[in-house]
Amino acid sequence: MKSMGRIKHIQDLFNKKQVSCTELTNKYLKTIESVNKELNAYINITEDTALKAAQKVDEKISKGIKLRPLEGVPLVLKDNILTKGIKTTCCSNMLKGYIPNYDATVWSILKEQNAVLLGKANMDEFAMGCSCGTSCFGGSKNPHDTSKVPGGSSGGSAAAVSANIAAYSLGTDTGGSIRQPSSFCGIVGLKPTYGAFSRYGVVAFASTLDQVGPMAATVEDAALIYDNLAIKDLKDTTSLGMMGEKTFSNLRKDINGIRIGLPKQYFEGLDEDVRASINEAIKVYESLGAKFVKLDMPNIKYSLPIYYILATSEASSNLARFDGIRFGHRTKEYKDINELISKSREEGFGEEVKRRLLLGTYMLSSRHNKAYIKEAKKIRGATLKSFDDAFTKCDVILSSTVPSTAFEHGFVPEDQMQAYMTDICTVPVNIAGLPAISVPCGKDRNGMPIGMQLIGDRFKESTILNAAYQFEKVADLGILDDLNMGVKL
Amino acid sequence: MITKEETLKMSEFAKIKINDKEAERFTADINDILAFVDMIYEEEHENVEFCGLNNLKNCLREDIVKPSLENEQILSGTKYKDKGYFVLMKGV
Amino acid sequence: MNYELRVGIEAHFEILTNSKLFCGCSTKFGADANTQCCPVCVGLPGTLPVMNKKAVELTIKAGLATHCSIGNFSNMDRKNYFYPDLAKGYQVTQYYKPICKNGHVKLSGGKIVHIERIHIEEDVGKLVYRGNDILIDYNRSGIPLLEIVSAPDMTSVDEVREYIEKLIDLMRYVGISDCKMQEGSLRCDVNVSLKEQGSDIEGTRIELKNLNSVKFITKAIEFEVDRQIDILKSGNKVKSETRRYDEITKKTEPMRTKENAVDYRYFKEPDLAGFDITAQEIDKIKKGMPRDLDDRMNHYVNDFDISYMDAKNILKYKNAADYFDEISTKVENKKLVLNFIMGPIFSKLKTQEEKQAFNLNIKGEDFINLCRMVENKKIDFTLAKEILNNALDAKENLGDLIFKYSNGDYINDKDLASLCKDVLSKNENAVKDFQKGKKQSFQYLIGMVIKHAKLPLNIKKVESILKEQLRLFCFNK
Repeated sequence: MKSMGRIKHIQDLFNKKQVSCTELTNKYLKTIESVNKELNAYINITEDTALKAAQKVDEKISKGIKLRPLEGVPLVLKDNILTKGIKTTCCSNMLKGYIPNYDATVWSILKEQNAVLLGKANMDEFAMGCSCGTSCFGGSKNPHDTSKVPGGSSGGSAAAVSANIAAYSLGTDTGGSIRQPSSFCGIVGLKPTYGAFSRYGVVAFASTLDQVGPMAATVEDAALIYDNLAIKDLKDTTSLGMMGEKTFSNLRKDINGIRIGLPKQYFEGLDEDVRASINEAIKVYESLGAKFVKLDMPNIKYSLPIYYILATSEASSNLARFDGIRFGHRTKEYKDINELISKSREEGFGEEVKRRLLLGTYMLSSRHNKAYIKEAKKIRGATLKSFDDAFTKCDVILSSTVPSTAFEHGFVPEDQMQAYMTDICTVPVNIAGLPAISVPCGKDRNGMPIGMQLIGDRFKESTILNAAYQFEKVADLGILDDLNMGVKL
Repeated sequence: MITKEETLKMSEFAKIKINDKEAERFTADINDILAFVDMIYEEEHENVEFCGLNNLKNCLREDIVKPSLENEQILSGTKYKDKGYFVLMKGV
Repeated sequence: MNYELRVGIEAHFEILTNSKLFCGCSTKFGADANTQCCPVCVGLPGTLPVMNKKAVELTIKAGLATHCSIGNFSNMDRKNYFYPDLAKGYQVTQYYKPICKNGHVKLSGGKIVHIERIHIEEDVGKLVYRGNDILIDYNRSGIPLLEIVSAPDMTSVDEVREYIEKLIDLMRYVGISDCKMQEGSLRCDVNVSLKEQGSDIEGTRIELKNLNSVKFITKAIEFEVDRQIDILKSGNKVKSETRRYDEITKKTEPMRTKENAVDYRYFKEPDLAGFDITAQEIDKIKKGMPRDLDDRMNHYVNDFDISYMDAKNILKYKNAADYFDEISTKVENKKLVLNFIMGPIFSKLKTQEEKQAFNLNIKGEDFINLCRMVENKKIDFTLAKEILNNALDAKENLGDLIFKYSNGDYINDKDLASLCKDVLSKNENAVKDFQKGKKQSFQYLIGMVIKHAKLPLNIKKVESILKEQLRLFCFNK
């Protein structure tokens, strides 16, 4: 079957002694060396770390010890997830060369399981962007068509997983940064419920919107990763861990009778090919016995504007710690404290980051009595209520992940907002703090992947993963089959 | 809408040095965004209080001392350090 | 034209938790620079705060001690500004929902100073000036601070002094802060304004920042009043600004030249959930608190007939006052007990720390015994003090000393001999009678020695020493 999970397949190869972990790791490393020159998905390759872990795994295998669910499987981490002793830069000049002295909780869980870290993935600077183009290391390329972007901000992760120069990745999603690039690159990307994964050790963008999530080749892989990482972390008091059912054991449940909500607002302004693909997906669900419920959720259309109020204001505060004093870039010449800080930040931050920080500062300033923020909070409350209402009528909500497919490098938007419009389907999910998965559901006339988004109620990851898995199995699309640049498993 | 003066004021608050040209460009960009964002005022919105996403409360910890990081580790992120201190300015 | 002074104080106290407000680093004073730090309190990327429960409890205690109303729900906010000692570029404090509101402190004349709010916040690091360099130490960053904000109710420097001293006494008494100003555990910002007498218009407020001794606070206010009166008398307006006090020039100077310099852009801290404060919790904290300080002071003054100053002074040291209470249940003369504590005992406990700790090397029951003996005139007060001092000096155990005294063994032979000699020289007739053979004279002389001794004597010893002294006396005649 085309959509077999990479994680179980790899462990199967280990257990059958068809390849050792070290051999496989070396295969990945070698492939990265050649392919990354083109894709620029990796901005840091961690050969030593990878091989050390692989060696431990091979020792275990030789002793006949059972492998844990993610043991020995090679991954790449988005470069805003802190890895002790390994450069973590957020692809910003502000943090070029920064070596953290502690691990993000999500990475420490994987590390403990001897996950093989191949390197750190390219991303939009400080996770602000939708193309991977604001990275200080230059953008990444979409493996399906290298003239096009992989999406963002987790662009490098999506490209690496798509091309199979990493078996899976962890990205972060604040307004769609896992799901949009997953959709553009034809892979599975899950943004868990806010609070399911720990945010400790993940460089903060917007505190009430950020979540870490798996980016993988198949739904099964995403489920395994979710089950192992949805753990409550005492160092992050906003984290709750797994509050619902485990996902992997529920993947194969029969979805006959599942109620799928279709909000009419999500079906406006779609590209022709995207619309056609989503309609096909709906037919597949029909054949599986799903029932459809028409929904009207007018609040959704305000998600993008309030996102730009809330995310930028939180970011303007979260990025204040980058002042050149204790870590990060410090300007060489300054005559006083004010210059030290403002020149370091001027030199360290790229344009998109500056733009958002200025906007966020404006939103928080007392100039207009914070009217924007007050209104945004009201609408946020109303949006939550809309989704709560919707989930009394349906089990999952279906939409496209993005109204279009990957655009070209060098695409210049007409105005600032046009650049942000690709997030229009993904952002409401972050506003409401709900789980959502992007699953490939087709290709456009140019062969570019199209993604379908399934949104679930709070902590109902098992429901959306179950629905996604059944679709994947029946549709059997093999979106990644045409890509030949990566590791052949 | 924001004026260039206000953008410069914001850059002071945000401690990001910008020149005049940049101030103009950012002002135009921000006004694009604000023009879009202003759509939230198109209609009256229900006054639903937003109390946070998961109704979390009371996440406090016991007053127990845990080991601190070594001095070298604390200073490891910068080269501007001296005898255990961060150096802000030298030879003032 | 006469002016009325209005002073409000924002007092910051470092509160007695073992660990910092948002991380487990120690709060102990005096460690080497940057050795009590971690990624959280140094504001490294990706870190998140976790709130210290004890800090909340101590803040509630402070509110209860000052008769505040305690909110039933509270949360933290971010105050955004840039400064090198502020690791995250924002300070986590309480702007919208402080834990305590609307309390008061009563001063000696009955004057009430209102407390607008008490809230909790994190302290910042310290800039250190070494030669021509400016260095930073973040050990202090993240230590929990209590901020007590008074209304501008104080109208004289004396009231200010009394208010601050009362706050310090209260915070120490309830166990919230040790208020060691030299360690920076208390810092005050002072708002000063002058109002025209008889006018309804409030004067312009000046903020004097970061004063950390009562002496400097009063000197700074006095300078400010003179400065502002000069300005107002010449027909000008006082400029609203922030000033600092220079200890060397003894003047206040402006700190920020721009008005409305900073917009703090307050918003609710998104990384910390709010917390409930239930009635049960408040009750539990109340039960664990000592008796109300003012009540206790009144009790000492009214029921024990102790002077106001003495009552105030012993209540500065809660352990001493508790000891006093314990001993006083068994001794009628409370003033006596107090004298012993504030006299000999406090003299032995030289430092403030020792007086606060109040560790004694004498047994309570022995001390009670001694007090009772003075009360019952079984021992002279001066002698009792001497015995107590000897015991405190660890020369001998108090119980043993008392026993010795009661058995007449407290006086040494030499002193007894000179006492006898003294008695003999004052009773020559009795000596002559004794020499003539009158046996009663000897008893008479013994009686005289006992009378003049002022302490119990061992009769057998007196007899033998008196006999010896008589022999010498007669021999020398």
